[in-house]
Amino acid sequence: MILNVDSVSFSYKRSFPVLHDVSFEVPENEVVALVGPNGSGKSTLIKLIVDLLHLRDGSIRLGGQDNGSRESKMRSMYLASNDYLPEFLTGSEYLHFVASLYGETIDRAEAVKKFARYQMMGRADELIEDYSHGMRKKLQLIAALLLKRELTIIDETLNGIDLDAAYAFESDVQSLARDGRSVIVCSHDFAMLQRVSQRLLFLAHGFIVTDDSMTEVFGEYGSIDALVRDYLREEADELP
Amino acid sequence: MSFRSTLILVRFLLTFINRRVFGRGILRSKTAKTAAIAIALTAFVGYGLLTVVVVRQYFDAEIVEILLLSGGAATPFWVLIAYTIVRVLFLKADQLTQLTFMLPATNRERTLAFAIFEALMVVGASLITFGAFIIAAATISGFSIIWRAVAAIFFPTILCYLLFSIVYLGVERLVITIGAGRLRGLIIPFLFAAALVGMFTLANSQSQEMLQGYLSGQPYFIPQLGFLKIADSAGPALAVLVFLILLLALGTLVLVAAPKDYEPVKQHYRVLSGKLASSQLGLHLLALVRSFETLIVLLFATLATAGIAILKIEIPPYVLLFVTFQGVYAFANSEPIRRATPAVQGAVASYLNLVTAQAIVLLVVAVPAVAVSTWLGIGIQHSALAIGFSACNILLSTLVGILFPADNGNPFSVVVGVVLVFAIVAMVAMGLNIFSLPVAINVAVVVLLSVAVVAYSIVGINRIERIRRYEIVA
Repeated sequence: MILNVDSVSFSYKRSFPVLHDVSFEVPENEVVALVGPNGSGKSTLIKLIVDLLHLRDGSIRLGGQDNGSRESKMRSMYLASNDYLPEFLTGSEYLHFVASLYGETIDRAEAVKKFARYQMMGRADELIEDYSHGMRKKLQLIAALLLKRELTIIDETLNGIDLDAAYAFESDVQSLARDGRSVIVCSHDFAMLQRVSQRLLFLAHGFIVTDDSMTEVFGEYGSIDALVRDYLREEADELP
Repeated sequence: MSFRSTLILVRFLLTFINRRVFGRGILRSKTAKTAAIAIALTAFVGYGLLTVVVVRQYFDAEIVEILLLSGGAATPFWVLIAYTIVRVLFLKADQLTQLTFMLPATNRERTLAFAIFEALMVVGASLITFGAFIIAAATISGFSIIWRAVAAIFFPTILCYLLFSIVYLGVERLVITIGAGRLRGLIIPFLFAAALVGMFTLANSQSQEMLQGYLSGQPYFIPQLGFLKIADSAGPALAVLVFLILLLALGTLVLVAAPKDYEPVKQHYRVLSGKLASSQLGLHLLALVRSFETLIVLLFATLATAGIAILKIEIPPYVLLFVTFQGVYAFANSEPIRRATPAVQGAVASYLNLVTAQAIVLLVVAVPAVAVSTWLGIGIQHSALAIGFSACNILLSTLVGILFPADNGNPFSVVVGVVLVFAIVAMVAMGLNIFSLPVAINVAVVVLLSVAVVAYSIVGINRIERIRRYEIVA
C-alpha cells in the first residue's frame, strides 16, 4: 500500500469536527477519485495526508512511514487548489526548484515537451507573475508529471485549465499511475473522474460514505453523478 | 460617475485597513492590540508633553508665527515625501486594487475613492505630526493659531496631495500610452525621487525668502501661504471659498487625468541567475532581489553613492540603510517558498535564510559605499558603525515583517509595525541618552536587544507555522 489512513478525526474548533474516524487505503497503480460536497472535509483530509495540518487523532502512513517523516514527504506531491506559486521565478526555474526539493533533476528536453503538450510552448522562461491562472495550474501539473512521485494528490487543480490541457491530463494521469505510483484526484468534474480513476471515495459531512471500485459504482448506480444524486436525495428526505 | 460608488469604495478601503492591518499578525490578539494602542498613545502623549514644555520654555508668539510660516512653506516638500511613500505602498498593493475590480465601479470612481482614502491618511498623519505643536502654540498665541494652522498647513497639504495625484496619474497615463505601464513600479518612484531633489531646493529657497521677508518687513510671495494671506487680508470666509474652488478644480483634474483602464504593475524583474533557485538561500536571495521594491532601493543606493562621490560629501555610508528596510517584506515575500511541498524547513533555518539573503545584498552595496567613504577620508570605524547599525536594522525590519506580515498584497501592515518599533526604539534611545552610559555599555545593550530581536523573530516564525498547521490556537 502507498497510503494508509487509519481512524483519522480532525476539527479546527473543538465544537465543530470536520472529519470523523476516516480510514481508507490507496494501493499502487491506482487513480482514486475523491468527491464530496463543499465543506465535506476533502481539502482538510488532503492537507492532513501531506502533513500541512497537525494530525491529532488516528494515523497516516505513506509507504509504511509516518506522514510527517522526510521519507514520506519525498514520496508524495501535493498540487493545491489555488495558484499560489513563487511569482519571482520563471516556469522553468520553478520546475528546477521543485525538483531540487525532491533531490531530483529535471530532464530539460522532457520539460520542453510537456510545455508544448500543455500549450505553453516558449513560455518556460517567463516569470510566473506573467502567467494566467490556467497557466499556473498547468505548470503545477507539469511539475507533477515530470517528478512522478509515488503518491500525487491533485486538489481541484484542474479548475480553470482549457479543454486541450484537460484531455492531455486525462491521458497523462493514467500514465502517471503506473510502475507502483498512485494518484488521488479531488474534483467536482465527475465525467473526467469516471474516465481516469479506478476507485471512488465519497466524503460527506466528514464521513466516508462510499469507498468502492469504479466497476462497483457503475454496476450499482451507473455513474458517479447518479450515486451523488442518490445520496443527496436521501439526505434531503431526512431533513425535517 | 457616481459619488455613491466612490463612497462605498472608500468605506471598503477603510474596512480593509481596519481588518487586514489592525487585525492581522500580532494585532490579532486583543492583548497585543491594547498594548500597541497604549504604546502609540504613550509615545504621542510624551511627544505632545515634550513639545508643550519646549515650546512654552523657549518660544514666544513671534517664534511660533515664524515656525508656522516655515511649516506652511515646507508643505509641498513633506507632502511629496508622504505621497511617494503612499504611492510605493499602493504599487505594492496591486492585489488590493484588483479586489475592487469585482465591484460595479468605473476606473474614475475607483481613482477618486483611492485619492480620498489616501488624502484621509495624509491628513491623519499631518494631525499627528503637527497636532502637538498646534496645541502647544495655542497655549502661547491663543486659539486663533488653530485656524491659522488650518490655513497655513492643512489647506495646502490637501491641495498639494491632489496636485501630486494629478502629476502621478498623468505620468501613469503617459507610460501606459507608450506601452510601459507595467514598468511604472520602477519609473514613477524615480521620477518622484528626482522631484524630491528639486522640491528640496525650492523649499529651501522659499523658506529663506519667507524668513528674510518676515524679518525685514518686505513683501514676499509663497503660493502655499496664500490662504493665510487671504485670511489675514480679506477674512477666513474668502480663504475657505478659494480653498473649496481649488479643491473642486483639482478634484476634477484628478478624475480627468485618471487612466480609463487599469494595468497591473510588474512586481518582479528577472535579474540574477535562476540557478540560485536550487538552494534555499539562493531562492530567498532571488525572492528579495527580483522584487521591484528591492530594485528601487538598490538603484537609489547606487545613485546616492555616486552622488556622494561626485559632490564629495564627507559622510559615513549611511546610504546602506536604504537596503535594510526590505526586511519588512522578507517574510511575506518568501511565503511561497515555505508553502512549496515538501518544505521541511524549521523556523531557525527559515530565519537564517531570510536575514542571510539581506546581509548578502547589504554587503554588495557596502563595498562601493565604504570605498567612496574611505576615499573621502571617513575613518573605517565610522563605516563599520554604519554597517553594524544597518545589520541591526535588518534584524529589526525582519522582525516587523514577521509580526506584521505584509501578506496577500497588503503592504500597509508593516506601517503599523514600523511606527510601533520606531516608538520602542525611540524610547530605548532616549533612555540610553538620558543615562549617558559609556559607548561599550551602549554597544552591549544594542547587542542584547539584537539577540532578543533574533530570538523573538524565530519564536514568531515557529508560532506562525504551528498556527497554520492548527497545532496551536491563534
